[in-house]
Amino acid sequence: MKKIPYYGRSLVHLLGVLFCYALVTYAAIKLFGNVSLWVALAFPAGIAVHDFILFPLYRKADQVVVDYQMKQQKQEKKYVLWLNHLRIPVVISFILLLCYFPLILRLSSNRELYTGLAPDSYLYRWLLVTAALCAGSAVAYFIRKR
Amino acid sequence: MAENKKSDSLKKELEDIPTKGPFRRDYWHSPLRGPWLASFMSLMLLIVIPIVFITGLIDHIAWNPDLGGTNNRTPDMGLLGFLLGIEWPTRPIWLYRLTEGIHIVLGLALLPLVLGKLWAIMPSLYKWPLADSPAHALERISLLFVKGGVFFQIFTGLIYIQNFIIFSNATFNELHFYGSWMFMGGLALHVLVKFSEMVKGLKARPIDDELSKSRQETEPEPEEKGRLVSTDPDPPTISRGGAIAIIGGSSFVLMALAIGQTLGERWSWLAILSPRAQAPPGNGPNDFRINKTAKKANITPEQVGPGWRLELIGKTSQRLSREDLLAMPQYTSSLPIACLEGWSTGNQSWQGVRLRELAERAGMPQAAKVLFESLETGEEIANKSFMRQNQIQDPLSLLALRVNGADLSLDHGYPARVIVPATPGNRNTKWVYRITFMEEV
Repeated sequence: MKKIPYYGRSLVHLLGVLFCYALVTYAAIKLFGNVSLWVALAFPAGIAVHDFILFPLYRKADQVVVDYQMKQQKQEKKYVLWLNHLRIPVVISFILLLCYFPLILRLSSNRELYTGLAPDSYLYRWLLVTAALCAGSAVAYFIRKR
Repeated sequence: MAENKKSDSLKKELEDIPTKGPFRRDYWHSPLRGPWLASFMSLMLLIVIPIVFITGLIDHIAWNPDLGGTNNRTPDMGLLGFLLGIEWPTRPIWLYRLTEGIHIVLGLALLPLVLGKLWAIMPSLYKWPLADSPAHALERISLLFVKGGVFFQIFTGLIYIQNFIIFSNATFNELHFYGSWMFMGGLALHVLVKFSEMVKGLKARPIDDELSKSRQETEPEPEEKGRLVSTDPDPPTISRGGAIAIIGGSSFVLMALAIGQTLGERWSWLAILSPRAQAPPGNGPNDFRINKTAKKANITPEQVGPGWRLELIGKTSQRLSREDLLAMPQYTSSLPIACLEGWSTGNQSWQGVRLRELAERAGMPQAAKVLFESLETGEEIANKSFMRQNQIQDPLSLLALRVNGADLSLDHGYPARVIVPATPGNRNTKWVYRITFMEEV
């Protein structure tokens, strides 16, 4: 498609950009008419937390485990890859924590008042799920290894 | 002179950027990354996100926001209120239970898919120069609404369903509603620009073949114009199918652990991490899930004692005691409670007076609208609720006095509560003290 001079993309692209910015601006005006403009920081903040904290951390953690596995692989003749038996339970458990941290860390303090439910320990439940995932993964590993 | 030197070093630094850190192509080592994997993750999101968005809009409609008052949680929405005025049906009775359950369960499933997708495209965020033209710059800036927006939507939702009150109910509605439009604005442009790339990426390698490859058979994708494929790939530690299985498996676990709160009490054991899966202990007729206790709603025993009267206002104005209501014809409706937080109860057997007979008694059988007012104080959103004609007229719509063969418990809205099929739990007012029928919407 023909590029628009000084713009650098096609007319369809330009229409898409106009639509996008018009809708975002309109929704933003409505939103920040009622809530504090500080909330707008949540958009870049979410990205920053992911790109500059979460991603580098799990990338590094994974690298450490991979390196360790590779070292072992070189030393031992007969080996079974255990790396993914670690990755799977850790990833799932971590995502559960990311989802349910307010409950697990007991940040929802008035929950009992709302629901009439006993203040269960979600921390305990989360640990139980994690333990079950790890155990399942370990059993699968030993079955494969035999 | 010093000025010049400074700008020179700055210039040199800028020139050096492509040789630094994540901007270097050999910083990225995964042999899995490439257009195919990125496209596959995009496809997953492109299936799930529209469903979550549409079920979200359905929740918006289900409140009948055009009736005003607390039914409209985002009063000044202007053009974004284009869905206003749609009559929300009362059948099938499980309609809202289904749509809201899908919204929450699939919304939860989004988190791993989003993280997986971001992992797959991470190198392409570190392009240098950052943009090749004004068009490209605007396109990349709009990613702020896509990426920031999806996190914003997921986390406002997550925080809300867990009663982690860092913002009020009213604020949540504003954030989640307008946030969704900001996200969709960004996403529309992103899909417009990238859709053909996604199709191309998927066509390059048949999905079945790719998913059935073992770890040993996994090779890096061929070099592409973008920068997803590593120039210095490590040996594979997992196949593409395996990586997708971890992401999909995480989504699956989240859904499996969440669906139990939508399916009703029998499945509570599965929803061990869900905030509202558990029911109050006991097997009594009133021991099913509660949204808000009488204590939280500030209901005092005197308010609901023998002195309680229902004000019934229409053409006439009457005050009815609970005995008066029990003396009217009693009907039974088997209906669930379904909350906007995604949890619901199984069908409960409610007993009480039909709303349409109350309308007749008030001298307004063709009332277009009704207002229910509750004794509860505190949150304004729950102490008033409007409904429209189809909801009044449905033979299953009751002012319930009893449930499962017993009087309502105080927590379930004694002396009387509204229960209307397919209607969000919050609109079914508890502890009713006044019902006003109106001629016009």
